[in-house]
Amino acid sequence: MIPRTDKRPVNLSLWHFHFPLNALVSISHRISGVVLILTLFIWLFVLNQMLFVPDDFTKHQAWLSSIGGQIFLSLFWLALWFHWLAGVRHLLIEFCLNSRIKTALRTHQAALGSFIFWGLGALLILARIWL
Amino acid sequence: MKLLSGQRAYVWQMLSGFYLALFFPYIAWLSLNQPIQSFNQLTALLSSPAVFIPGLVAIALGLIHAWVGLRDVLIDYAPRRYLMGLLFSMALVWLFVIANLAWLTTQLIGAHL
Repeated sequence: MIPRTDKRPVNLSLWHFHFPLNALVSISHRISGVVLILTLFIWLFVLNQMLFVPDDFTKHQAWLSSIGGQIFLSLFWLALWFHWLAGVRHLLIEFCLNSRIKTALRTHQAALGSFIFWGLGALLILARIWL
Repeated sequence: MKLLSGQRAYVWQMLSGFYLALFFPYIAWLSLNQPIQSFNQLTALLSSPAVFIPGLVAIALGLIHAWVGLRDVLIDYAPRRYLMGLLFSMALVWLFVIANLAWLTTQLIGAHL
């Protein structure tokens, strides 16, 4: 963060900015990464509980089937799916040898395609968890 | 920490990204095809060579990937006056996570033997 010298308060309303779709993919990639790190602590907690008290395995399974557990699983898999998708796109943009593919992946349409593809996958994930 | 700063951090981020991009579809496929009904089934699956070895590599690379990613987020968005404190706290949390994962691994091997 660049240090500011003047003391005037800055109240930026992010809703007044119109970000390009590529920027939204990038920030969503970061947000999904932070969500994954937060869910890592819940996974660790569940795993510790399972290994401490193996007899309570069915209790932990029941929690994962409860509404709270299903919300947690949905959050985890949706974040993982987006992070993976945006990450693969990023890797291809960085390392793909074909310059036409590289250029195509950087476009607004490719970013829109990423969101649409994520949305379709998200529907399948949610159906798998909730139905 | 020099190992995970500057251009090296970028290289680690990309290398771990490549590995995890291959590992997670594998885990998703396993979770769809291997229903786990009991504790013994879970430990048997986690300690099988097809999951245990790639899983350990994924955990190590995942921790590096997450560290570099979260470090970048903090550097970009955290107020400068809190940055060193936040990075130091994050390093402590990461040490705790590594210790806990090491303990879980030993417990897992112990439970399966």
